[in-house]
Amino acid sequence: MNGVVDTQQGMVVEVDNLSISYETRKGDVEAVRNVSFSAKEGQTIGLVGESGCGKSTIAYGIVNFLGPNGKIVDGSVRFQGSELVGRSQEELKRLRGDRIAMVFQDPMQALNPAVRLGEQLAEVLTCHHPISKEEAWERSIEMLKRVYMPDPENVMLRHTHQISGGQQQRVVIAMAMLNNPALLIMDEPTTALDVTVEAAVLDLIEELKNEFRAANIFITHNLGVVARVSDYLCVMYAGQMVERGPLRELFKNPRHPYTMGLMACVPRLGESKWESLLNPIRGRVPPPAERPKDECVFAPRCDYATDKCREACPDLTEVSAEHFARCVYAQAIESRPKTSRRRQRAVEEGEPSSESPDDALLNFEALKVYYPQESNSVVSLFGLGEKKFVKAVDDVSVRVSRGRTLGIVGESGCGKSTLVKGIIGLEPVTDGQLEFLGIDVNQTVSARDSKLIQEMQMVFQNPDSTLNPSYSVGHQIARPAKRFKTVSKDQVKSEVVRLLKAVRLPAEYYDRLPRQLSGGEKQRIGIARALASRPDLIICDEPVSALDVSVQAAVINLLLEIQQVFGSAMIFIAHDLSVVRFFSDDIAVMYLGQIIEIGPAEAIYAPPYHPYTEALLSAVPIPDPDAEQKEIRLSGNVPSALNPPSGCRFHTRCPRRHEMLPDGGKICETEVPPWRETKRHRILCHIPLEELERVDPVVHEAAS
Amino acid sequence: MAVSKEVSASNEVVVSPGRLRRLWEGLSILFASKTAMVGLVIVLFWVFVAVFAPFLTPYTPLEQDWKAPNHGPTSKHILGTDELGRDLWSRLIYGARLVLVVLPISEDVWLPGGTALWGVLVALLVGTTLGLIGGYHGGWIDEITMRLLDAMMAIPVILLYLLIMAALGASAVNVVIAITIVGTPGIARLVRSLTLDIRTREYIRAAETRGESPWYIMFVEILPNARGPIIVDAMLRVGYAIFAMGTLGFLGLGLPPPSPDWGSMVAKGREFILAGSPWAALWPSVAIASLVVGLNLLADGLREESMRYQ
Repeated sequence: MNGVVDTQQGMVVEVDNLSISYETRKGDVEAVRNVSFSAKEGQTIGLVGESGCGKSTIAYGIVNFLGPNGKIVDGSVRFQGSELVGRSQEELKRLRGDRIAMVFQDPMQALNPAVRLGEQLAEVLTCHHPISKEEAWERSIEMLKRVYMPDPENVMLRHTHQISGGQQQRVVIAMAMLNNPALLIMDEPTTALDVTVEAAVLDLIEELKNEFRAANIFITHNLGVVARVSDYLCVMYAGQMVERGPLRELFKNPRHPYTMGLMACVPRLGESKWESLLNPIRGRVPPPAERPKDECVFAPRCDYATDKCREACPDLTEVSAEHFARCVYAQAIESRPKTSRRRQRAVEEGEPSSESPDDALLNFEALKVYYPQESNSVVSLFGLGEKKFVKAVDDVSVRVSRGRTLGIVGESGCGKSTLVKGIIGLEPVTDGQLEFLGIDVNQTVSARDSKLIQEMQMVFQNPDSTLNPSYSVGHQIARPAKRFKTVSKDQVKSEVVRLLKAVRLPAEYYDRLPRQLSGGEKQRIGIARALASRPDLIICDEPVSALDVSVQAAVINLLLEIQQVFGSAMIFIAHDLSVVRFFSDDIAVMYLGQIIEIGPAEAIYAPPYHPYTEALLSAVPIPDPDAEQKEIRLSGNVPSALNPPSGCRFHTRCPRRHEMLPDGGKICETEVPPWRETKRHRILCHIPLEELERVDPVVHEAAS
Repeated sequence: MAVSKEVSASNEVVVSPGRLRRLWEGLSILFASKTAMVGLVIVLFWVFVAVFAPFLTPYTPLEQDWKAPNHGPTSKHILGTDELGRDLWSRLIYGARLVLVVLPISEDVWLPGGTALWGVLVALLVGTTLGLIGGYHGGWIDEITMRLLDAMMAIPVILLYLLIMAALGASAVNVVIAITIVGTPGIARLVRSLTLDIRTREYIRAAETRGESPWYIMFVEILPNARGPIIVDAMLRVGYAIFAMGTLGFLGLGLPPPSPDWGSMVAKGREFILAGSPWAALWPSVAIASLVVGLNLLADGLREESMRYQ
């Protein structure tokens, strides 16, 4: 560079040919290979890719914070013109938290639970600069105001557990911005947050970017999130950067098969299983030790791969201005059409006619699940005093028909998991009617008849704990088949093999132990186990939310296929509204233990909306930078279910009642809202339907 | 019945390579740790001499050589003799037999397995069951059992041993009972805490939604996943039990004389240390110490290595 340090105006960080390895007992494992990118002032670089692709390693590598066994093998990181690789930890320590700030996924772990928030914030300033404690305190309060923290003086005196998750992440962001850093590294900053909170935090990040002009490296696995905040996109796969380019260009014209695959395997908001099919990427991300060395890393999973791909690892080639792709066919591959999904053959069957009332499989009315709240007062010790209850599910009525899917959406804490626990009998139902197959099942699972138990099974969320680590896969699938005697004893093994085939796994998996499987495979086994008793109703509690997107698509497709083959009804819980829309026939939206809107899926996703549904939809990150989406942000936190607001439970946060109701919606505060019935669905709201119908749809897909 | 046997047999063929591999993985954890290997060698030495005691010495532990009481090591008696002229090597390895290999119930009836091992085994059975019930069921059952066990844990261990042995009288079976009573609360606490963690996993939910009985969930779903810490704890407990046997023997409350009990050997030999023949007290002390240290090393090594393995 001819001794000139700043070759380009405003260049903050340049990563050149960076390679990082981790020492393990089996020798060095290469986590990141030859990664180059750069970030200018005020620019946000999005690093996307699935887990295990080396995104976080790059982030830590930039500040050489790789732990005792990680090391930078090759390459350079230039920060504001000076080299960082090879600097001592002492020097780097001075940079970290001052010129380079980081924000991590889980704010609970980023903040010290034993120290007041104010002291933690002020320490960031006093640690790096010679300023007094009082001044640091004042500036911390200023910064909290800038991240829109309500009541910042008070928050400074609180401890971590006394504020909500979204507020914690705001504090972490404030902490990162305190020293006005030149470079901000954010590692999945919104992944642990609910959609509405996530949307607000993303707005904040966008705003701070314009205000502080810091370069931002934003790491995420979520294409929707990255589309909202970044200017420039880098796609990582198996430790390599496979494609990079300006955001819009890359979304419009992806040139690497992996990027195309990522975009084709997530359902877009509003798409349903009747019109499209997801295209999963086959296989899974190889662990670092098993990555192909001298061929294209993506070749084993690529539909376009030829012998040429297996000869050598391709270089990043320029496709158009600033747009690079690591594929030998980058120029030749035709970009898959944007809605890159095949029409499903099942469409011929047509959508099932709307439910006939006789066909009800599961029917519950005015269902209530309360948890008694333990009080520490002396009075309650003697059984006196007022008993308090957490009203996790309060007065919920739903009907599920044979062969149909009910989706339940809502933010964490809305009671959706408790509801299904009540249905399946893991939690005692406090009050209400619960009928399954026409039989009253208002008791816990241990009191139910085994024939009934058999007809209702569950698929769980966490692939790492859904299977018992002590037993082989075959043993675990065989257990329900043996227990409910679905097949005779000597046919159990062939039944298990048949179920393995049904979830697209070879018979060799019979003897594998859970720890030898990947997340997606474990989830398949969990599905096979639920199928083994041949149930009429399968309850899926967030079955894909812990999986990588490419694997997620495969599991969703599998569930759809199973529903077609076995004809089971499903209750599908998820927080991802695009997935729920895609998967379900009917949808119930829950808020604070109540259903506030219920009806066929397409009716929920179009006006008239319940104000809460509208806010949820407008918060969903859409993986398309050109999509126009309404910006409705909810204020405040979800109130406690111990003491829910009077009247309409949503009135404390409702953005619509002031404009749509006379006298600013006083009625919402005092009276329980009525069900407003449209032709197709029901909304629990005081606002008249005619008003709600006047609302515009939340999303306008850009015409392209 | 015949059909099911056939099925299980055919399953066995398929499953066995998996089991072998698992066994091998378990052993490789053991071999990976130097600490555990040192412990294993010491423990195996004692097990070996205990099992083959009758072939390793020409004397019985009770045979008295009147010509040579209180002798140091000689070619005839490699570790020397005690005050009655009994061969110390014989008494030592027959003592190891009592600890590790046989449990004498009466004069001629004995059970394989050793006093210390039986004590820990029974304590494991009782403690694990109580811990599983308390941890899985919770509520008042948990409260009652745990408060009772807490009360037992509040009594100093030595005092508890003395109380039990004084009440029951000195015999091998009573030593087993004492070890069981003293060991149970700790094991129950450990298993309970493991159960509290494991019962929150989703495979327990899955078993519950299948309508499995609480016993099935406790012993088939939960217990196998708690085995690692339980095995390590049991090894340490065998060490404590050996120590307790030594203590009881020393205080005259252990196995009744003339059994070659290590503790009572030390107690007897103690009187002659200052008289110039420390051997009778020295060897059993070394034996107790080395066996306990060996078991501790083995347990520590296993624990460290299995944590790293995870």
